[in-house]
Amino acid sequence: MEQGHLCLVLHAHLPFIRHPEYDDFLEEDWFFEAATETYIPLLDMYERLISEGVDFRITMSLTPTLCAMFSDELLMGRYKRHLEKLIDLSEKEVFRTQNQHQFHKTALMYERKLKKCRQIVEKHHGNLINGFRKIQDEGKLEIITCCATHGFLPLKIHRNAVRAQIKTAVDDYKDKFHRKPKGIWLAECAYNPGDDYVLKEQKLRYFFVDTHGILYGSPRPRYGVFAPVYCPSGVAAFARDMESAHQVWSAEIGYPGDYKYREFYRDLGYDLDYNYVKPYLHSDGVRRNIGLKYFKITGKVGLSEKQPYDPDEARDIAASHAGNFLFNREKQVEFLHSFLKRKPVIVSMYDAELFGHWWYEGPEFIEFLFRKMYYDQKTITPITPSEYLQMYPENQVIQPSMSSWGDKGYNEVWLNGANDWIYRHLHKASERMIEIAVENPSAHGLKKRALNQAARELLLAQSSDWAFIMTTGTMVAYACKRTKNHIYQFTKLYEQVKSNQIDEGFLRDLERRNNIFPNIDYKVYI
Amino acid sequence: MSQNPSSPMGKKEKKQEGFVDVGYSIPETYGDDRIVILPRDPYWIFAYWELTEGKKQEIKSKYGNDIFENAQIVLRIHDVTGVSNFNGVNSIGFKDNSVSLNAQNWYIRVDFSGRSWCVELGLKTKDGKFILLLRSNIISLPADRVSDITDEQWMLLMGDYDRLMKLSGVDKIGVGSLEMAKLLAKRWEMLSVISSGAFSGSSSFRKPLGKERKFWLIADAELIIYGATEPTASLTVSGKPIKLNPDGTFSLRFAFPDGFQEHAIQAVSEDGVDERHITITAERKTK
Repeated sequence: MEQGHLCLVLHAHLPFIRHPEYDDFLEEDWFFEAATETYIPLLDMYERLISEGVDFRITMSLTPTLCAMFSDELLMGRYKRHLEKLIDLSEKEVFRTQNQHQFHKTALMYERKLKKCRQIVEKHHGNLINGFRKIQDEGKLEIITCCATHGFLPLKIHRNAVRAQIKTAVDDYKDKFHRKPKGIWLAECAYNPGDDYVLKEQKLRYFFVDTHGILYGSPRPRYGVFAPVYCPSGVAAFARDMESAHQVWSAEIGYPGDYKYREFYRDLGYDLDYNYVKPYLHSDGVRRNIGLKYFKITGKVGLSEKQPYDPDEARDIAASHAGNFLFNREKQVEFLHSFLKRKPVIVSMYDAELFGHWWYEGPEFIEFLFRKMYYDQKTITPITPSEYLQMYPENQVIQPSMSSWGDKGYNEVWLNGANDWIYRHLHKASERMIEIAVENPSAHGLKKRALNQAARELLLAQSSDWAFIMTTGTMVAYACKRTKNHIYQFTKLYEQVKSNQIDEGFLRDLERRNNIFPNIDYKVYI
Repeated sequence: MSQNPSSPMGKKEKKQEGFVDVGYSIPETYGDDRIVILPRDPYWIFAYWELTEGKKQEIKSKYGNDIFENAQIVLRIHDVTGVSNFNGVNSIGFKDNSVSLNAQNWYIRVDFSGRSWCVELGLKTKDGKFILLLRSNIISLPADRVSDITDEQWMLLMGDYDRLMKLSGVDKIGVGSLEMAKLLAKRWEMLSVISSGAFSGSSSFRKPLGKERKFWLIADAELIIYGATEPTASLTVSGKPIKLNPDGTFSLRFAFPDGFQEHAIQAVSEDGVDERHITITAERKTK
């Protein structure tokens, strides 16, 4: 009989980036790269584990913005185009490296993996939601939702704006996954006391906070972070385990820095003859990463001194890291079990994109982890939050502390000199959205469309990603542009609704470009 | 949007220079008289405000045309913890921060975490009178430490509790995410460097101009000793008697300069028969 549980949570998120007005748009690559390196490999891994009878549990937040991109014909069409080009390049690479023993194996790996991506996309009819939904229906994956556009809740001042982020997400989830979400990932794990009542209204049963959300909660948590707590509303909060977080995140001791793993920064896009790679670059012809990389981290050496990557060697390291991770969790669980007299739950939560995109071997690590957990030991079993709550319905009632998982643990990443200018506009737009929704409680026709699009524009302006990018100090222009454009577009629609002079051409263009949440209902703001 | 330099937290460079096409222009003001405060962390509040000419005129006609020159413009920060229906005079206490009206936003440091706050923008006249211009929303900031409140039903021995806190990673809070943030920042930097060419018509990415940085750091430490014993026991710390809370808990806060400290804690039962000792030593080195 197991003595405790591992709750592995991956937060999969990208902001909504879709530009039909251009044929070729650089930032759409974020989605394509993450699909090739993270989302599809994870899906592939789940399908393989199921077909081989390995019982596992994993929890993923697939954010509504990401789901919109997964199921968008234009973007998925562009993704297929992108993938075809990469497959074409990988075939050329297999040919080019046939006499270069040290690179050939890696070239073959890319060809095989890229073709697998194509096969998986085709199998799910060009919509990855279909794939993930199936794994959820098999009972292995618990998909949770997230704030509609990853809005940062503690910096909102209108309760209705918080509710719109939550309810729009829940409704969208029902459309896409044909059931109600059991839990939610609050964007950036940012929690403000009281927000749990809004979750309660939408029948969400749990959410996640960072370690100090519970450790600094009141009264003191009896089980530390090793059991969920109930907020005063009755919604459960699970907190991040720092030890397992540290093993993966830490720059010094973290697994992803192993010298045998693939080097992220040495990329074929720079290494090969310009004319050879040019067809695979963007239309501007500027050299960039294209995702084929042949070198390992090697050590603290310059990019030119990196040694060739060996996929088999890296795979062995991933297996041994998985073994190490599991061993540490077993010890943790054994100790906690004897000490707490209850089966603890270790909540290990990460950005999904860490696995595959950043840490190339990450999906293999997870696969080894689940195999080893299933075959090699009996101390710990994987679990989803809803299963744990079913097993332990009685939990301590605690008011968690305001917290986020950002740098320094609170709101500063999203509120500092680089981005604080956005809030007066976001708040004003929320106030105005509430105003026009209240004034038009049963709009129809053109006005209803304008109100719905205004709600979309406001939600898109609220994505925490823009404030985050402004803080990191690079790519700022795009983040500023997105914030200002959505505010501008919102304001236009607001004025048109107020004056009852709706410009249908303008509206239709926005509906075509920012087509997220097809079934949105502006009345959520009333 | 205000680009004025404001509080010590500082604005950075002018945002729009050095970029190509940052989007449509949006209103700088909305014609509202309003101040809003937001929580940044346990000790910092962000405030933004807008004051219309109409409101200014109203104040001038009431208090004199030169009132804005003659009086000091302040943010009055009220501690409204547990105060219902705050009316401007019933707060637990307040302090004033001088500001420039044109700054339009300000970062405010508060002295205590875990409290609720309301901020007023106003004029302080030479004779000490306060003329209210704007009053903000009320926010609560987090406590940033383990709660003093324990839950009878879920009690745990103090020693076990400390161990559990450590296992839970109380000493690693904020660490993991910082490293990840750095990793992500590095990646974006990379993307930005390699994306320096013109692109896609609308989105041309240039490296930002060299920033004038007002980087700063403050760090200090205090020592908190806490625990619990029988409520009827008598407790001394380093020979000094300490009054226990009704439930037997105690908590002491010490200044913690560089150097070595030792605190001998002694509990004696009511009948004087039983004694327990715990000695805690702590060393601080600031580099």
